[in-house]
Amino acid sequence: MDRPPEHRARWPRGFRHNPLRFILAAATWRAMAWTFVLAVIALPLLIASIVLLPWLPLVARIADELGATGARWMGVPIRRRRAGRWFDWQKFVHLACQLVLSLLAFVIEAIGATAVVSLLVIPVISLFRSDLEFTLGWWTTSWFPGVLAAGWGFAIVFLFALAYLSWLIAGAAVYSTSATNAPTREDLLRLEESRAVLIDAFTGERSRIERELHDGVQQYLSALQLNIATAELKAADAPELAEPLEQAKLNARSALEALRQVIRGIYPQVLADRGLVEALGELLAHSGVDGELHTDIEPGSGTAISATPALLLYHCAAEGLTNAVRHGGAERVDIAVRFSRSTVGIRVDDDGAGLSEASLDANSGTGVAGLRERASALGGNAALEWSSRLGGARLRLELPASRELRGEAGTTYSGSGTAVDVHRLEEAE
Amino acid sequence: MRIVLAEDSALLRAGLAQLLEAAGHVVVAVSDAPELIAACAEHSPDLIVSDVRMPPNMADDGLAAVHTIRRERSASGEDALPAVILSQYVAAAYLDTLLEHGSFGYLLKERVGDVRDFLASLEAVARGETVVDPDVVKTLLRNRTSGVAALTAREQEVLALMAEGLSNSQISERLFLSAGAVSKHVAAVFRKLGFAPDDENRRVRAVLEWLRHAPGQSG
Repeated sequence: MDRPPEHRARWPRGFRHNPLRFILAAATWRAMAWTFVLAVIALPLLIASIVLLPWLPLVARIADELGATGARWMGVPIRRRRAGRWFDWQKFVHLACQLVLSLLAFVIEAIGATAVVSLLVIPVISLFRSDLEFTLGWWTTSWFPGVLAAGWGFAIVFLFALAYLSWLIAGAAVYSTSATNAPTREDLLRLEESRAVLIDAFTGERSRIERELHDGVQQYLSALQLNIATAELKAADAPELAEPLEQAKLNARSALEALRQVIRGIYPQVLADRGLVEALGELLAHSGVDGELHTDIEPGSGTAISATPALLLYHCAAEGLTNAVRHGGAERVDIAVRFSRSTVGIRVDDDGAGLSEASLDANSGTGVAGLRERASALGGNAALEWSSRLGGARLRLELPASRELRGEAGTTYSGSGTAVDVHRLEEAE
Repeated sequence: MRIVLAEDSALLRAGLAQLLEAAGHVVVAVSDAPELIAACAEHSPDLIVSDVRMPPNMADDGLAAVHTIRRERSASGEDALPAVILSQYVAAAYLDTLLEHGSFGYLLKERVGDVRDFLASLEAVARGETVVDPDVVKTLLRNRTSGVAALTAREQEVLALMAEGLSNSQISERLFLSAGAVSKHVAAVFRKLGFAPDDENRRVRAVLEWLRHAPGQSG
C-alpha cells in the first residue's frame, strides 16, 4: 500500500521517435518557441550578469523566475525550494546553466533560423530573378523547380535539425531549473528532523490536554457526583428530593462518561502508567466486541517503547476497532502486538464486511491516512488490507523499534519498513 | 466504622470524606502514601479506602502502600486489614497485588457515584469478602462461558481458597493435601476454565471467574 512518492519528471515530456510525429507535436513547437526566447534574452542576460556583477544575486533571481516560467511553459511544474533563500550556490549554478544554454540557443537560432528562412525565401526570389544561380557543391542550377526543390528540401532538413536542437536546449534549461530547485540532502534531513520533532510535540500536547482535562474538569465532575451522592444520603427522609437528585446523578454520570471517552481517545492514562499492552487490553475491553489480544515478544527485545510510538500504536488499535465495529459490523476483533529487535508492530484483524472501496482509498482522509502519515514520520508504515486470519479487514502498522534505527544520516524513508512477519505469530497461536 | 481514606485530589478527598461521614463512618483523610502508612499505624482502621495514584511518585504509590501495610499485618499474624482500591482504569496487575492477602475491594472510580452500591461494597470488604468491580470482571473475562460448573467439588474448594488470597502452600495446609495434589488441582482449574499456561493473569482470572460464578460476591 505504501508507494514511494512519485518521481517528479524533470525533463519535459513529448519526445516522439517518429520524426514526423515529433515535428507536429505541440511540445516540440513550445520547445522551439522557448529556445527562441532564450536566444533573444541571451545577450541582455549576459550583459546584465557582467555589468551588474555586484548584484549577481538579483540577476540569479531573475534567471530563476525565468527558468520557472519556461518550465511551466514546457509543462514541468517547479516546486520552489524554501522561501527566503536569497542566494546560494544552486542559484548561481542555475544562472550559469541558463547563460550557457541561452548563448547556445542564440548561436543555434542565428545559424539555424537564418538558414531555414533564407532557404525558404531563395526559391521565391529566383522566381523574379532568373539570373540567380543556385549553387550546391558542384551542382549549379537556375532552373526554378530545381531551386525550389533544393531550397525547400534543405529548409525542411534544417527545420528538423532546429527542432531537435531546440528540444535539447529547452529540455536542458528546464532540467537545470528543476534540478537546482530540488531539495538538497540537507533540506531533506532537516525536513525529517522537523517531522520527528513535530510528532513528538503532538504527543506532548496530547498528554498535556489529557492532564488538564483529568486534573480539572474530571475532578470537578467526580466531586459533583460525590456531592450529589451525599445529598442523596441526607435527603433519605425527603422523598420529594429523590427525583431531581436522581436526574442530577444521571447527568453527572453521563458527563463523566463522555469525558472519559474523550480522554481515552486523546491520551489514555493507562498507557502512560502501565504501558501499551495493558492499554490495548483496556481498549479491547471497552470496545464491546469479542476479541483477543496477543503479545509476541521476540527474545532479546523489550516492550519498552517511548511515548510517541506507543501512542501511535494505541491509536492504530483504536482506529482498527472503530472501523471494525462502525463500518464493518464485526463481531470479533483480534489485536496482535509484536515486539522484535528491529521493529514493533501491531495488527488489528476483524471478521467484518472487509474492505470497501472507500476504506481502501488511502486519500479519503480517513483515520488510516492519518496513521500512515504519522507512521512514516517515524520511519514506519501502515496499511489496511484483507485479513487472512478472520476474513474481514486488517489494519497493521509497523515502526522501527527505536529512533536510532531510522537509517544513516541522509537516507530518507519512503515507507518501506520491514513488514512484520506474522506467520510466526500465527504458528505460535 | 473507622476508615482511612487516601486520595491526592483535594476535591475528591473532601467529597468522599463527606459522603462516608454522611453514611455514618468515621473518616481519617490523607493525601499521600507516607501519610497513609502513618495514619494506619496510628488509627488502626477497620478499612482502608485508597486511590492507586498519589504522591510522592504519582505512580501506583497508593497501591504499594496498601500492599506494604497488609503484608506487615499478615506477617504479624493478625487478620488481614480490609482495603478498597479505587482505580481510574482496569489493570489486572493491580489485582495480582491485592489478591495476596485476601479480603479486598477493587472498584473503578466511576463506581463511587452509585452511592448505595459503593457503601455496600465497602461494608462487604470490611466483613472480609472480596469485591471486584463488575466492569473489571467483564474486562478480564471477556464473553467467556463460565467453566466453574465443570469443576469438581474439590477443585471448586481450591478455587474458593485461591479467591481468599491463599497461596498453594496455604491451600495444602488448609485442605490437608500434598503440595503436588494442590498444584494438580490448580492446573486442572486453569485448564477447565480455559486459561493458557502462559497467561500471566490466570490466577486472577480464575478467581474472578469464581467471584462471578459465586452469587453475592462481586460488586
